[in-house]
Amino acid sequence: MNNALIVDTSLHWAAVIIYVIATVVNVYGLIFKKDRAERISYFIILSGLLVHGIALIYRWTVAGHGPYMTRYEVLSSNAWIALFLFLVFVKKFPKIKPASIFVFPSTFLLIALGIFLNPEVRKLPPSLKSIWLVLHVTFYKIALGTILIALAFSVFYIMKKRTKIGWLDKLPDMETVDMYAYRFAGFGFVFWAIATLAGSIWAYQSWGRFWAWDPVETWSLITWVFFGLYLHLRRFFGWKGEKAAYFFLVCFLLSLLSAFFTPLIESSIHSEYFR
Amino acid sequence: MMLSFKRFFLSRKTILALILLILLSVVIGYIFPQRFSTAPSVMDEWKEAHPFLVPWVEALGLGHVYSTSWFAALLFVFLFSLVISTYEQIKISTKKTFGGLPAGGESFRIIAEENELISAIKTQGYFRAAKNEEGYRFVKRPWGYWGNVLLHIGIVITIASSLLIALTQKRGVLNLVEGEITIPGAPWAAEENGLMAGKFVLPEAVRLEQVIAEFWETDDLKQLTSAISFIDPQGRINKYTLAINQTIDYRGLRIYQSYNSGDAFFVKFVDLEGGRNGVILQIQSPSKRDRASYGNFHLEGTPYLLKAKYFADAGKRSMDSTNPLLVLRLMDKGKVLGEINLRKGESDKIGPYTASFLEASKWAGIIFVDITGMPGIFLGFFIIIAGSGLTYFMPPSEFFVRREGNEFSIAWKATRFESFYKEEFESVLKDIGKDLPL
Repeated sequence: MNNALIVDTSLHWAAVIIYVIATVVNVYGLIFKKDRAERISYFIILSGLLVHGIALIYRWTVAGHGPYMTRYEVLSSNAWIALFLFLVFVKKFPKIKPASIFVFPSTFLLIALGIFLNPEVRKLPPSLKSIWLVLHVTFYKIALGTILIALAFSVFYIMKKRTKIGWLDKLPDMETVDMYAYRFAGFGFVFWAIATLAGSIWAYQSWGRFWAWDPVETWSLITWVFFGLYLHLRRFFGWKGEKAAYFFLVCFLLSLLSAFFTPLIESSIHSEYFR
Repeated sequence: MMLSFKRFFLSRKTILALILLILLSVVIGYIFPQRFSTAPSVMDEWKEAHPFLVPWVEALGLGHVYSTSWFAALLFVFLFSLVISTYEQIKISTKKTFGGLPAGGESFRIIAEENELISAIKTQGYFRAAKNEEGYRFVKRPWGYWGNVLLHIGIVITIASSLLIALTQKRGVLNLVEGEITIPGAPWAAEENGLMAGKFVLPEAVRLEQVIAEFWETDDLKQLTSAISFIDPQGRINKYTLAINQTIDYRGLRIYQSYNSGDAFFVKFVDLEGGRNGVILQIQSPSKRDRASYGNFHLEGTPYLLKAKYFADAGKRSMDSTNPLLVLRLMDKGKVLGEINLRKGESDKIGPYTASFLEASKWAGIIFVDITGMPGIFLGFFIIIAGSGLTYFMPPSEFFVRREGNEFSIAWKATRFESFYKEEFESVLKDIGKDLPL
């Protein structure tokens, strides 16, 4: 392992440690209803976000391209964007705070997974040098961040309905939890569409096809249509509550499949990334 | 009759069924190898492995789902349904935006000054949408009513443009070796034409002058550049350079540098009777300097299969193919007849032949595209995003103020996510010094 890689992974490990501490404090605060602990966890996680951000910038400098090529880069930057988005949304919608119990651990789990997979630097192929690619990738990351929050609220709804766990009282009432899941799914749908648009412009620019029906594209489209169906069923068929929450879980699994697994199991123009 | 026809196309069940049918088609396109994205040899292997499916695949066009007439018809029906739905959405949105006071609805009474009440509502960003002798209707974010209209218009434009492209597009790929000329009408290495497109013919002869492949120190491809020339019937030459992500436009065509490139090996086979057979072995570039790249070729006029592989550099020290190592294996129905390693200029015996590695040149794929409708696709996408954005980020909320003697009856609602916007209602009441009714 060369020096640059040692610095890079050390910074990432430092972020992981800070995130773990923040998660422990946060979970303690939520479960035992200690507001101070919960507040402190946000300061800790912010410092983790800073260290993690420095790690990503360092990686960017060393690799010569943004964090969207290897699994390590993709997972790490996804974690950063998901956490950053969550903190922004918490500011705007304070009621979503308990979703931290999902978002905080997701961040360090994603980074750790990336480090264990392979942190080696890969150089950017020429087809990936495009501003549209940067937009394509960025909006998918934002979409995944909002989908993660919608997932948290869908799961919260099911838990609230099916269990009597004490800390769930900190959440808003059932109707509002359901509404948050609906709204963030709507955000996810919009951002997924923007990401797809940017991708199709990039594809047209690179090889003259706006849509090649390659496995990643196909599954991404299927996922987007499923999110559309979820929103359609909620709006026009009156789906809500538990039924909608379970349907969202299916959509979430599909989004994971299309974003992270199809590039691994299939050969495609998207195979360059996440290998 | 007309009404039931319209009702059928507007039915949610019809729309859901159409979406599911399109999804099913996409899944079919995923399961069955599609000829536009699969090498002919792989298609042949698939057919050999699934003989019982071949009649179905050929009859229903399952090997080219997206250019079948049934898929185009399915898209057309969906498009038709969406057009009717869009028209209905426009009527609904117009009514919602400019309509008068609603009938009924949950409301409560307050005593307040009319001007004070109106001012408090307007301060919260509400516009007056309607006024009559009964009272007022105020709307905040009225453009949110048009989100669905935009969403539908965007989908209509995208699908209409996709249909246009599916029917009229012409795409052809040439895998050219340096110095090679292809004349108009010559066969393509791969071709994909729309249902109504006809044959795709090059407007002029094209020659590949030079291919430059640059590599990172990690052996990953850094850039691939091709110099090509168009030669018109009078012999005039127009020279262009293209690279990955750097296209050129020529006589209505857009021309792309394909990612596919490698080395072409000119090999001469001489049999025991002195018969000569010259072949050009075009093989994709290896991924690393210490890894080989492979290709299979049928020796014309013989029953033999020639398996070839090569390393970019015989010493495995670089990706520059100035000193490649070519390895040939001659097969006869699975039996190895011989295997030799050749460098440029070398000869050796292989099976019943003497093979000579005469020369090596670069080859590259060049993609020629003639498409109409792309701006529609991107415009449609933008409108879809704008429509979904308006729908989910900007749901309208409304105040209804009805005069009832000296008092006012007030009602408030948000079209979506009401609990998020309730504060606007509470703020208005606070401004005029009222509390929420119990």
